[in-house]
Amino acid sequence: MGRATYIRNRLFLMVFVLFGVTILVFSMVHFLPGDPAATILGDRGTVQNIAELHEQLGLNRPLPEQYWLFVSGLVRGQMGTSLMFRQPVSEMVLSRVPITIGLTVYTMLLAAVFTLVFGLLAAVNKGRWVDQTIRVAFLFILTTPNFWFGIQLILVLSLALKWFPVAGFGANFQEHVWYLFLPALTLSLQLSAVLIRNLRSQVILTMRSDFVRTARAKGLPDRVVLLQHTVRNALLSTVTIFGLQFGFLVGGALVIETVFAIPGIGQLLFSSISARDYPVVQAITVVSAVMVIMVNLIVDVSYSFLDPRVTYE
Amino acid sequence: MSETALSTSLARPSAAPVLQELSFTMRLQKIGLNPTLLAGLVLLTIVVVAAISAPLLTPYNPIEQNLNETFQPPFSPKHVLGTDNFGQDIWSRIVYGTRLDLQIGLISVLFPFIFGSLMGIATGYLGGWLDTLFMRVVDVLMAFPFLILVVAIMSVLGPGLTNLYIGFGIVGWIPYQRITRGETLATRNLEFVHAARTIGCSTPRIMLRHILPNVIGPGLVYVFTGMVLAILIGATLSFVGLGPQPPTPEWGAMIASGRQFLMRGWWITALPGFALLIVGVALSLIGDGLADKR
Amino acid sequence: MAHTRRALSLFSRAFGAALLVGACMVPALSHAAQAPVVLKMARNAEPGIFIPWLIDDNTALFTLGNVYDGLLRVTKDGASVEPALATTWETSTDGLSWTFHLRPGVKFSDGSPLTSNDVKVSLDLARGGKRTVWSDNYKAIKDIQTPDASTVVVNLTAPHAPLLSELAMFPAWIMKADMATATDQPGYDDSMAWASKGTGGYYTESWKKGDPVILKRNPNYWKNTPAVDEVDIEYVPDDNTRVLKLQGGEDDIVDFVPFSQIDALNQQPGVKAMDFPIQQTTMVMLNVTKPPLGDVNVRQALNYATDKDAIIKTVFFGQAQPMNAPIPLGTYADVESPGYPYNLDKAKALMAASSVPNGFTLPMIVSSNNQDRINTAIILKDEWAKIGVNVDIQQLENSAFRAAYHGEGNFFAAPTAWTNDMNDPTEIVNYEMRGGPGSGSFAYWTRYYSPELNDRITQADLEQDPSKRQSDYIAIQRAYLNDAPLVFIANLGATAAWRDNVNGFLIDGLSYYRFEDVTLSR
Repeated sequence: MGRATYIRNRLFLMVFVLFGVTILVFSMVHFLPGDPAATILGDRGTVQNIAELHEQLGLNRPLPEQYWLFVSGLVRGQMGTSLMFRQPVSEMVLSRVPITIGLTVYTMLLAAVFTLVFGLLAAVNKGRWVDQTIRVAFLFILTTPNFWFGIQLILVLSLALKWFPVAGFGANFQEHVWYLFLPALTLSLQLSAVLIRNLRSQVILTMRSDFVRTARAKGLPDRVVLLQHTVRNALLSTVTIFGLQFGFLVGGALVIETVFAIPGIGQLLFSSISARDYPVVQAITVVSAVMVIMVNLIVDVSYSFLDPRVTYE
Repeated sequence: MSETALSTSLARPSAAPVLQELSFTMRLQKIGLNPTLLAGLVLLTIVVVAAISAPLLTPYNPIEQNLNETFQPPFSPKHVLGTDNFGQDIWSRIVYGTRLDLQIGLISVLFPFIFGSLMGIATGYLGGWLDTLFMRVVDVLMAFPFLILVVAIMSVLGPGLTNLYIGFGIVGWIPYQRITRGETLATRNLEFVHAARTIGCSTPRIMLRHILPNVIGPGLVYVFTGMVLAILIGATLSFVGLGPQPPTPEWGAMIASGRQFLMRGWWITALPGFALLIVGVALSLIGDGLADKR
Repeated sequence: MAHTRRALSLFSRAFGAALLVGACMVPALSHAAQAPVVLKMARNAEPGIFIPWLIDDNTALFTLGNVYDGLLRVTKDGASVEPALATTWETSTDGLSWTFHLRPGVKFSDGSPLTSNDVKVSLDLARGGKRTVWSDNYKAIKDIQTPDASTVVVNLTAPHAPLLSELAMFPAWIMKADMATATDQPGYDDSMAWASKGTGGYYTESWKKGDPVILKRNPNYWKNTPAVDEVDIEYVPDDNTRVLKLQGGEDDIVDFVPFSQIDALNQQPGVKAMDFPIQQTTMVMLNVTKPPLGDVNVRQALNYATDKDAIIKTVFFGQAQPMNAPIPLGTYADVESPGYPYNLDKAKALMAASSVPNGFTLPMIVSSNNQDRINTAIILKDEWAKIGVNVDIQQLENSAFRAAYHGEGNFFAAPTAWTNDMNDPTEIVNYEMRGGPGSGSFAYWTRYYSPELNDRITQADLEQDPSKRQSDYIAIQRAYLNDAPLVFIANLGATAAWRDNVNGFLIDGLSYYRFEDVTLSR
C-alpha cells in the first residue's frame, strides 16, 4: 500500500478508536469509588440532601442510558453539563483546549530548539568539556521533579529578578507569550534532556557507521555528511520518543498548570476526576484522544519521510 | 564500529553487507572499557550499598518524631542534614528512602521493558493483524496522558506500591514497543535478515537471534531514562496525594510534603531532590555508557 | 568544522532571539490608579452553582455572601444575628407567627425595589422548590404571607427558636422574584444565575469557568459602604503560588494561606497575614460499630492520649486553640467544658481497663487533598503508639475518602473538620450527635446512637426560653463529651493575607469573606 492509502485507513480506524476511548473512559470513571453529589456537598452532606442532589444530577438513571446520552450528545457536538459548576461542558473544555495546546506547542518549539542546538553541540564535541557540561546540566534538569523545578524558576526569575510573572495566563496574546514562558521553559528543558541524550547517542552512532564513512571517503564535505546523512537517520528514534512524549507532556502540563495557575485542560481534567465530574472527564478525554491520535499518525507517517528503509506492508 | 568488525566483513568476499551484525560477545568486550559506564556503575553501587546498609549508616529511626527539634537546618549538631516539620532526621529518611526509590525504579520498568520490546519486535517483524491490533490498543491507551491513567488506576485500586507497579505495567510498555518496532521496521529488510531467511531459519529464531540484538539498543538506553522517569512519576503521584503512605520515607513524598515549608525549611524539599539527582545521574551514566559502546 | 559552527551559531542566535522576544514582551501596564478602584484576589477554588438555596460549596458561598442578603444577617463575630433586609420583627404570643418589617428603600442591583413578594418567592423556593437541597432547615415553616409590600409574615407549625438563625443562613437569601422563579423551571441554564439580581454590596454580570470572578459594586446597596468598585477573584489552586503572587504584587489579597507561612509573611514589609477566628473545629471521626471503637474506654483513652498542644504547634504553627467543647465556639457552646486535657497516664489506665488492654491496630483514612489533616494523622500515629494503638494511615483520594465513610461506613477512623453555617447550635448538634434511623448524618458518620440524647436534642430545639435552651444544650454537650465518639482536637481559624494598602478585609465568624468595608489606600 502506499502512503496515502495508509493514512486513509488510519483515519478510518480513528473512529473506532474513539469509540473504544468513550467506552473505556465512561466505564473507568463510573467505576471509581465515590459519589459526585457527596463530594459536591462536602461536609454539609446528609443522607437526604446527597440523595436529592444525586437525583437532580441525573445520576440515578441506569448506566447504559447515561452512556447513550453521552455519546448521542457528542455526535451532536454537545458535551453535557458539569456536575460541579452547572455550566455547559463544551464551553468549559473548548475554551481551555487552545490554552493547553498553546502551552504544549510552545514547549515543543522550545524543546526542538534546545535539542537541536545542544544535542548536536554535544555530539560533535564528544568527550570534550562542552559535551560534558551539556550532559551534566541536562542530567540535573532531567532528574528533578517538574513541580520543584518550576518553583525554583519562579523563585529566581520571577521573584528575584522580576523578569516574568509568578503565575497566571495574561489577558491578550502578548501577555500569554510572556506568562507562558516560564511554564513552557520548565517543561521543555525536561523534555529536551530526554531528547538530547537520544539525539546525541544516535548521531554519534550514525557518524561511525559504514555509510557515513563511505560518504566521507567519497570526499563529501562534513556539512553534507552531517545534515543529509547523519541527522536524518538519528532523528528517527528521536522523533519516536518525541511523539510518545506527547502523552507525558500533557501529564506534565497538568502539574505545571496547577503550579503556574494556567487555565488549561490538564488541570481541569485532574480536578474533575477528583470531584467525579463525569461529563467533564468524558469530554476532555475524548477531545484529547483526538489530539493524541492525530499526533501519533503524524509521527508514524514521518518515519517514511525520514527513513527510506521503512515500508508499509 | 571496530577494526575487528570491518576486517571481518572484508574477509568475507561473497557478501559485503552495508551494516554488519555484531555478535553479542563482541559487545560485551567493549563494555568494560567505557569510562562513562564505569562511573555510572560505581555510583550506582555506592547507592545500592547505602540502601542495603541503611541501619548502619543512620543514627535515627526515619519515622522517629521529635517535636522539639523541628526545622533544624543542615549541619546542626544533632542532625547532619537537619530535620523536617516533625523533627524527623532528614539524613536517615534519605538513606532509607534509597531502598524504596531504587525498588520503584527497577520494578517499574522490568515488565514494560521485557514485554514492550518483545512486542515491538513481533509487531515490527510480523506486521499484519498483530501489528494492527497493537496499534489500536496503543492508540486508545495513549489517548490518555500517562499520569492520568496511573492516577485513575490508583484511584480505583487504592494507593500503594503494588498498585503503582500495576499501573505502570498496564501502560508503561508502550515506549519500548514503539522504539523497538521502529528499529525493527528499519532492520527487517536488511541483507543479513534476508540471508537468514534464505538459509531457512525459523521466524522465532530470526526474531530472537538476529533481529533482537540489533534493535534492542535504543530500548535499553531508554530503560535508564525510564527508571528515572518512574521515580519522578512516583514523586508526582505524591504531589497529588497518591504516593506511599505517610510517614514512609520516600523521596518523592518528602519533596511533595516539604513544599509547604518553602520559606521555613527549604532543605526539606531540596535535599531529597539531590538524592534523586544522584540516582538519576548514576542511571543515566550507565545508559549513556551502553549507548556509546554499541 | 566551520559549517557546523555556522549552523550551530545560527541556531543559537535564533534561540537567543526567541528568548529575548519572550522576555521583552512585557506588557506596559503601569497605569496610574484610574477612576475604578479594583481589588485583585487569588483564591484556592472556583465556585459552583450560584443560587442561594442550591449552593453546595464554600467558594460559591463566600462570593454569594457579597451579592445577596437575607432578612437578617450574622454579626461579624458570628455569635448572633442583626437586621439586614428586615429592620424590626416581632413574634406572636404563641410563637407560631413572626412578622418582619422590611427596610425601606432597598433596591436590587438592577434598580428595582425590594418587595415582600421577592422575599416570599425566594423563601418558598428554599423550603419547597423543586431543586432545593436545604428544605430540611425550613421544615418548621408552615407558610409565608405578604399582607403588604413591606411586611412578611412567617407562620410556623410549632414554636421554633432557631428561626432567626435559619433566616440569616444562606439558603434564605433573597433573590428578585422573577429570576428566582425562573431558576426552578425545567431546563434552566444555571450559568444564567451569574447575571445576579441581589441586594448585596456587589453584583456579578456573568462567569465562565476559567475566568476570574468579577464582582462589581452595587450602586443601589442599602448600606452604601463599598469603596472598592470591583473585585477580581482569580483561581490559583496551588498554596505556594498564591502566596508568591501576593509577595510579587500581582494580587492584593489571597486566602487559605498555609499556617506555616503566617509568621514569615508578617515579618515581610508590604504584606500582612492573619488567622481570623471562625467557628471551625477539627476532630477525628471514630466508627463506633467497628470493634474495639465500640468500647467507650478506648474512645476516651484516645482522647486523653492526644497531645493537642503538640498538634497545634506542629501542624497549625500555633494558630489554633485546643478544642474542649464538642462543638465550635458559637452560640451556646459549652465554654466551661473540661474537655480531654492531655494525660498519658489516664489514657493508659483506660486502655488497661478496656477490652483491648494490649492495644490494637487502627486503620485511619485521610483525604489526600488536605495537608493539615495528613500531618495531623502523622502526629496522632506517633502519639497513640504510646498507648499501644498502631495507626495505619491510608491516604485516599478525596471522593474515595468521602465514599468510605458515607454509605456502608466502611472505615475506622478519619480526621475531619466542620464550620458552622449558622449561629445557632441546632445545625451542628443535629449533624454531630443525632444518630439512628432517620438521622441525616448518623452522628457525624460515627454511627453513634443514643435515643435518649436524640430526644433531648429535639426538646432543646423546640425550647423557647433562651436561658433554658442554653442550659439544655450545655447538658447535651456534656453528655456527648463523655461518650466521645469523636477525638476532639482544635478550634481553627481561617487564614488570609493582603498587601499593606488593603484595609478592612474581614472573614467573619462563619467564614464568609466581606468586601463591603474594604478600602484601598495608595
